[in-house]
Amino acid sequence: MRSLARKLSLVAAIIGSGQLCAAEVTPRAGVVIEDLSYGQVLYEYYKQDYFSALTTLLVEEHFARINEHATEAELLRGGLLLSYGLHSDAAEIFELLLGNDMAPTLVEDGKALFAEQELRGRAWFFLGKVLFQRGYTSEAAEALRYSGDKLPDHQSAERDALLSQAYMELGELGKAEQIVDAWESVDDWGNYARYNLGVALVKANRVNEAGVYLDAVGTIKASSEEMLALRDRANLALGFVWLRQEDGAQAKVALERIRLAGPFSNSALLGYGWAEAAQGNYRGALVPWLELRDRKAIDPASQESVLAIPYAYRQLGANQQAVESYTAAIQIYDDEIGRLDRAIVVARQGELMKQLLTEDISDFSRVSWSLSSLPDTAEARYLYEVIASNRFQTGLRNYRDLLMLASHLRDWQARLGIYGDIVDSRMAAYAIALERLPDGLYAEQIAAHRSTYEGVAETVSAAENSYGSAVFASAKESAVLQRIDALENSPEWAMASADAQEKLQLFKGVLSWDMDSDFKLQLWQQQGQLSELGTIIEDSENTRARLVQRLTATPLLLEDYAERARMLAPQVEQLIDEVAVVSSLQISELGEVAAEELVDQRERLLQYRAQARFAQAAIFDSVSASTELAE
Amino acid sequence: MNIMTSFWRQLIGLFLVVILVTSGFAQEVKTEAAAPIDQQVQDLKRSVLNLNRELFVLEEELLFPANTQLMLFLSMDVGKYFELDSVEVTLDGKELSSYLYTPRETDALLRGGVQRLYIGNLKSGEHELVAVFTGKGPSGRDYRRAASLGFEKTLGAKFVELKISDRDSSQQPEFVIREWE
Repeated sequence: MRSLARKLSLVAAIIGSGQLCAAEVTPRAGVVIEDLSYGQVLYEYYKQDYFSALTTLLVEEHFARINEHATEAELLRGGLLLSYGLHSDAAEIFELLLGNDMAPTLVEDGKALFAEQELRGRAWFFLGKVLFQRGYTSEAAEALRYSGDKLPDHQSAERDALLSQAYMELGELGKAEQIVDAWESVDDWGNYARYNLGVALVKANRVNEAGVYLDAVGTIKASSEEMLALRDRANLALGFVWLRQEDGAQAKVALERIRLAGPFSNSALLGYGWAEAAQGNYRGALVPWLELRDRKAIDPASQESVLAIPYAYRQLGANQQAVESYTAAIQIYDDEIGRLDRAIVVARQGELMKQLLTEDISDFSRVSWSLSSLPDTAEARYLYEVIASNRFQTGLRNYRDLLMLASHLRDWQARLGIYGDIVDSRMAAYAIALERLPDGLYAEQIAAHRSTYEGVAETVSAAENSYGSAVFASAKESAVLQRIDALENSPEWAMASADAQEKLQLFKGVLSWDMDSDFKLQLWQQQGQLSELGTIIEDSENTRARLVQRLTATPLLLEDYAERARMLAPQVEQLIDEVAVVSSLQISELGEVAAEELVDQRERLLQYRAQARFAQAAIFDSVSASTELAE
Repeated sequence: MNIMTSFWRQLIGLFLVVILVTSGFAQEVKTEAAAPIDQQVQDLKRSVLNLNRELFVLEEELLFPANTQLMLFLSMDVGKYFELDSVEVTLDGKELSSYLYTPRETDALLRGGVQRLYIGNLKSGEHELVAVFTGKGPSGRDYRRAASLGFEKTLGAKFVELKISDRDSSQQPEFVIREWE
């Protein structure tokens, strides 16, 4: 869990904006879409529906519909997996994209090379993010360094923020400072990097240098709620750093910059009181502290004000009021500790979580959980702080993802049933259609047509070869030819006059001339018709072949669908069960996280109570010593 | 006084820790394996993703075979002169799809996303597609325009894109329907 908290701390900017996922991966801007399917993936991605984007990408890749953007799509897939929390899968893709040659390309000329370098740079960048999130800080820093200078501006800024954070975690504050100091543009990532560095320097006890960075963030011109909150946070940290240095005046300058209506106003009031106290103005200190005391007791600032008030009374010499206030403080802490004890028990039982979570699961896309549905019980009010914690939000994301998975799976469960019915219906319809088909599927008829066609084609061909114009004679011409033939073969014809015989020869010659002169036209016409007939017969044969092929393939295809549906259905069932089990575990885990957070709160109160008792005893000792001295 | 000073410092120090925790920066930086529950969630996500792919592939092959498949897509380019509210698509005079856009969806389109508006089956032959776009035109006025495309559906999947783009020369939106190979 610690690594998750660290991850969240790194990208506090993202948390603040509620766009953790959106900032995890960003496709290259201004891409001209060459594959509609790739655009479809981007559409789901830009809608922030990462599960759909991933699924669409996987399906479209399966159908080979993303060709022009193949590498880009792989990079996006890795980024989406990263965004979806599948870090190892994402890392595999980035490593694959980068290939075995892990050194960056140094050649810089040519558009293609630029594109390749940009792509490799982004792959390095994403790989660096994965490594960082998995806790491989040193390797992450190396990968981020390799990402080069071809990244788009927004990714370049994020890379610099991550790299500086990596150096901070590696204890190389000097390198982190170099990056932050070289930051040219004024952007959100830069502000977070400065803030992170400021905090890291505070931890390293380099307070004056820390002050420079925190002051820079504390004076930014902010317009978004996210940056306003960061500015407040920087001023609060800066104010308390100065207070620790006992510099009330500087602390007040920072604390006065915090918005009164913001989430840090209570803490600012507390700090302001301490700043007044640091300058010896205890009456002035009491004003904000008394105001805080009357606010909700679960706020840490309010809890501490309960302890600060008697301290101020003591400094003002009002020992009686100090003792009374310490007594009241101890009572308040006892009451709170008692309520926390009960809240811890309830949280561990898990009932509170179930009640809270089942009331608000309708919108999967929400990053943070609504506080509006908190049960109105004494225990539940402690959850406000718990729910806002990173650990709880991380567990909540898991739980929300599980709810979404369960919803998808239930949907598929219903659809698979319908698809099974569709396959059955098609099989039944196929069987009926099969019964209606004639035996042999018109094979004899088509063969007969083919045979006739070939016979005619042979005749025409023979006529063409022999120039047999008689083949194309009309009915009238055929009748005349028959009569002439009959006449010439009759016994009387030999006795016919020479004139008659000459006339018949002349008539035959004219008829032959007429037929021969039409022969070529006739032949062309016949061949044309024959060709059309051939095409029709061929179409019939092809149609029949396709029909036969489909008749063979359809049952196999339907059986394949049925088989796949049969195989997938139990997988869906099994995953539904597994999701239910893990969801239940996650609920328990959330309960445990809540309980641990409450235990932390309890520990803090125990410390406050001990401080109060110690201070109260010190007053008694002092008064007692004074009395003894007086006696 | 010394005791109280120490007390004062302790309180401030304690609260400073609270501030840093609240800010999320007081966590120790150590590599730690993900909690078992996180690993289980990851495994489940992976399994469901893979299963989801199988199921979508089966669905498409079963319901929308490639030979008869028709897919309609909608894309936007810039969107300076037109703010999309809805689109209605008819095919051969029959309503095919009607879609009302949310701001998040139009934003996704403007950033380069392409929406798959429709997937279905269509028989081979000549068809006519008509799309009616409704929204706000130049100067924020109500705007309604139609575009049409006659096309031939042959064997194999047919992809058609409805594209809304800006025509700077006339400062008007342009609506084009085009076939993809």
